[in-house]
Amino acid sequence: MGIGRRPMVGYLYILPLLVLLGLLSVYPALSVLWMSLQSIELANLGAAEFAGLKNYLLLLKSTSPTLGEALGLSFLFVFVSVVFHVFIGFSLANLLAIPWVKGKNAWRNLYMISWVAAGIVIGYTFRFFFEPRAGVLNYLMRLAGLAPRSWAADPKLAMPAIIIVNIWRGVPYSLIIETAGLQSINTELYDAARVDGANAWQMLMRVKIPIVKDFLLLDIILDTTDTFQVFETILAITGGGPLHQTETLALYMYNQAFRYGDVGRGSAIGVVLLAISIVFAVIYIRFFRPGKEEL
Amino acid sequence: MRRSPIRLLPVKTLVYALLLVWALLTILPLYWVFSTAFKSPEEARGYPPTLIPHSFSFRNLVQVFDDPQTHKSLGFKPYLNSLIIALGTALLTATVSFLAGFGFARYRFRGREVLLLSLLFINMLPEMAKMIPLFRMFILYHLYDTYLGLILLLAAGSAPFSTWLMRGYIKSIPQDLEDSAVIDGCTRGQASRRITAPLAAPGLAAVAVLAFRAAWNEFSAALILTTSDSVRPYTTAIFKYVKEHASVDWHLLSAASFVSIIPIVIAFAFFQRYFVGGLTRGAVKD
Repeated sequence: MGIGRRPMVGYLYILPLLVLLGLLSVYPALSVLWMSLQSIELANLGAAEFAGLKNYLLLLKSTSPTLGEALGLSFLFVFVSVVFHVFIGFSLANLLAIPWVKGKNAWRNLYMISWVAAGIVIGYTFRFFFEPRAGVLNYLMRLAGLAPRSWAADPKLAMPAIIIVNIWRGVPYSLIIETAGLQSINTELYDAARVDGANAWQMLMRVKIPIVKDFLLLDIILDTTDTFQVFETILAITGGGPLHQTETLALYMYNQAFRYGDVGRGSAIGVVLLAISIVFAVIYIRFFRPGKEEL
Repeated sequence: MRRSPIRLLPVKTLVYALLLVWALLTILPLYWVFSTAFKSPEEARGYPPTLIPHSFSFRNLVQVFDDPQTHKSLGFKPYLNSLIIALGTALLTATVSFLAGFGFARYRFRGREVLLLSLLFINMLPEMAKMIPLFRMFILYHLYDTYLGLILLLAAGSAPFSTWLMRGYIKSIPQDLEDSAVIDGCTRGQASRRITAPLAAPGLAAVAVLAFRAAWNEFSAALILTTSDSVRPYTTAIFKYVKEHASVDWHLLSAASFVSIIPIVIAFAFFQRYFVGGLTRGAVKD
């Protein structure tokens, strides 16, 4: 350590961060656990009664839709989204890693647009795109000789529609992480593999993926937790309907707590969201726990 | 090892074709919104949709900013609110994460490693799950429906990742520079402000742009924690506008979207090199 550097001073530098996170992240995350065990109404937040596991039991059995149904929808939404994000993101990253491809930054900037724009704006953009009468998608369907559909209002099509929007939106995030992964590969390895006569496929399977797999895993973990949070794009396109067919956990929580005013029940859903994130956070830290020398 | 150009040509065509396909898929829905922003109400509503506006005008873009009391519009205020919240968040995040990044990079205090790992953990706590306690807390402490409340919350959201990023940046700056400034009579605090902060500028830019984007686009916190026109940002103002009008005016909504996307796209295009570099340095192992 340098001259005149007292370790205790370090605490002063991190103090603002600790205060901010303690009050606005850690405290609410703990508080929601306690609130989920109480009966609380939005209209009367001061009056809370201990209710044990009542909120959870109601959610499992008699709330419509049930927690199980919302969980099922969420898992479907997240699983399909993440698979496509990683696949398309990794493919594009590989294409943009080819030495002779021109305008790499221009392509990347262009792809970023879908990630940079606000979720609510993206949501309305697609609501417009899916609009049954004047929407572009149905126009294209008619051009192709297919029957127009009401995408966002059809119980069978609403979920695929919001998944497609979410895939569209999340690809750039994967692209960035996978690009970082590919850039971490020493180019001498490519040359060595080429000297050994490896073709493009062998290069991918034997050189790239083994090295990039940490980044793929990082991408999958972060993207999974992010996708469980998706809220406003779904709210804008379907509002959770039709018939609750697109009511994923975040919307489910919002509806129970802030639309129907059952804060206790909403908190219990919040705890489920929290639990899912914690599982992935633990996996994340176990895999990526930086070595001692890096801390 | 070079392959012959004849064999490479079809490969090149295929690669560029694939890049182009995703570019078109990215652009198509947005293009429609952007072109609708310049169409007349009749053309925007009409069928079949027109690829290029026949009735090209900037009227919608002006109408967005009209007074919502007298006209069907959003008004200027929501954008101003968003700007204040986003700038405040960017500034606070950059300050807090620079200080914390500096502390973590330059001082070896007890509990440092555990705290650094906790940041990764805290970073993954879902925003929505915290909203109910935050709602109660904000009402109790008069942060509900204030700029300050949203700025504090959004900075707390951006801070953990930003701190890691800043710490990585500061670690890459040689300590000797600060040490020699101290020998020349600076205090440690002055050295960090005058020597380290300017050198960490690319990292600070990355942190600020990312925090700005997160705050500019924030929706759920704004929906739950604000209620008046004097604080409400454009994201929830658009939502409210759509909810209150039975039929959606696509020409106006498109213009409002267009206005919201342009600043952030410009900021990103401008800062892209800092921020991709910054992300990869802080996000993954150094």
